Amino acid sequence: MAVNRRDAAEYGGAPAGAAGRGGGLSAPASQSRSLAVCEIASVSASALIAEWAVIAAVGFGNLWHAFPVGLAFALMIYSHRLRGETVREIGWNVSEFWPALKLLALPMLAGSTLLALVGWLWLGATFRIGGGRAGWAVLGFPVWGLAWGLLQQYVLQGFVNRRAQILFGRGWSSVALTASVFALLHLPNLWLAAATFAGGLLWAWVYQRAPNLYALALSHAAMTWVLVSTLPDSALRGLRVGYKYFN
Amino acid sequence: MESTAKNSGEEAVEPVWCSGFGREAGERLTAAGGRRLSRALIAKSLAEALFVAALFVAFSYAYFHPRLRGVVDVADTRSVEGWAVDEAEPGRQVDVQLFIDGRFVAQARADRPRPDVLAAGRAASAAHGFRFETPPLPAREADYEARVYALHAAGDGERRTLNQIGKALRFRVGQGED
Repeated sequence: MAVNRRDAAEYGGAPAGAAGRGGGLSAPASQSRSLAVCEIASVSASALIAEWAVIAAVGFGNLWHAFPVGLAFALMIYSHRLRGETVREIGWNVSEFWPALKLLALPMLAGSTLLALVGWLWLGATFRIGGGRAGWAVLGFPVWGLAWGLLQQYVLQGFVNRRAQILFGRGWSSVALTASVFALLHLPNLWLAAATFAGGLLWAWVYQRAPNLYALALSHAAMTWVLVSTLPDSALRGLRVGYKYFN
Repeated sequence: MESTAKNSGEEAVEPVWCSGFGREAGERLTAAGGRRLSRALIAKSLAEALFVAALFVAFSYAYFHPRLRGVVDVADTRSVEGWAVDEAEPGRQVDVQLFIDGRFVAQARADRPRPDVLAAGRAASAAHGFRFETPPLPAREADYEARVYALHAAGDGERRTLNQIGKALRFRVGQGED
């Protein structure tokens, strides 16, 4: 079902009982869309502050990151409540797991093949499981990769994608916006930004058809593993982003 | 509600929310909720602006230690002399570096006796003076510029910064030297 902005404008207010926290009259669609823009900008700004300002000022591995990240999560949770979004529809469910995984399987296979070809033919890299890092190969993929993937996919799809859909409706505009935000947060690592833009397009597209964060996190972790296994570290720079990229 | 609809022969109209479809989240937002969300966004922005400002001040304080004080008293063809003290730790001797025309010349510890510094109450002891021998410099028409910097270790010694002590002094070598 393709929905555009015109549909959204014609759709009118939410039925009684479906309104977000506080009840009462619906906010005008234009106000809701303006707020969605501000929400995406605000959460992106928090991530950029953590990646750039905090690391530049006090380095990596300290609690200063917790402030902007904590504020972003507080805003996201508050926004979900005000907009009446349930945990299930955000993507914390099991019912959409297999449909999402089916949608992901073929593009992931194609993406992995493409990465292997780019790494081998263009960058001259040899395939090394987990980028040659034993810790990453054994523990990184199942534990750290999944947890980190789940966190990122929640922010990206469960929040940014949903707000992008308030703006543009379901379709390529909201998918492209979601992927662009994802790529922006991986700058100035150009290889990683390109990879995350491509991955962001796929994950945002899949989320709009089968919203399941667990399947996306699994895909995220698997593709990260493929990425570090196929592309040389000289290109990926240890997956560092933000100010840390220069260290 | 359901039975009423059936009895009257009408179809029960239930809201249909397509799972995961972000559009309806925009329509469920109430006017009051919109105002609350606006306030939350403003509050978050203000908090982050203050956080970044605090981070900048903390960074500046940590890396460009504002409590390093000192003076370059003399700069000529023979020596560059002065004193330096860390007011945060007045008992500690500060390491200083001499640069002439922007080029590193030498490093020394500011531990030479300067009773005037102690008498002025600027340090806990008199041992805060420094003296560098001026290296042989070719004569020229233009002035040479001497700057002395105090070393400051930050980030658990991970980084070291140079903080200028006093003002740059100019001197001339050759004809008309100061």
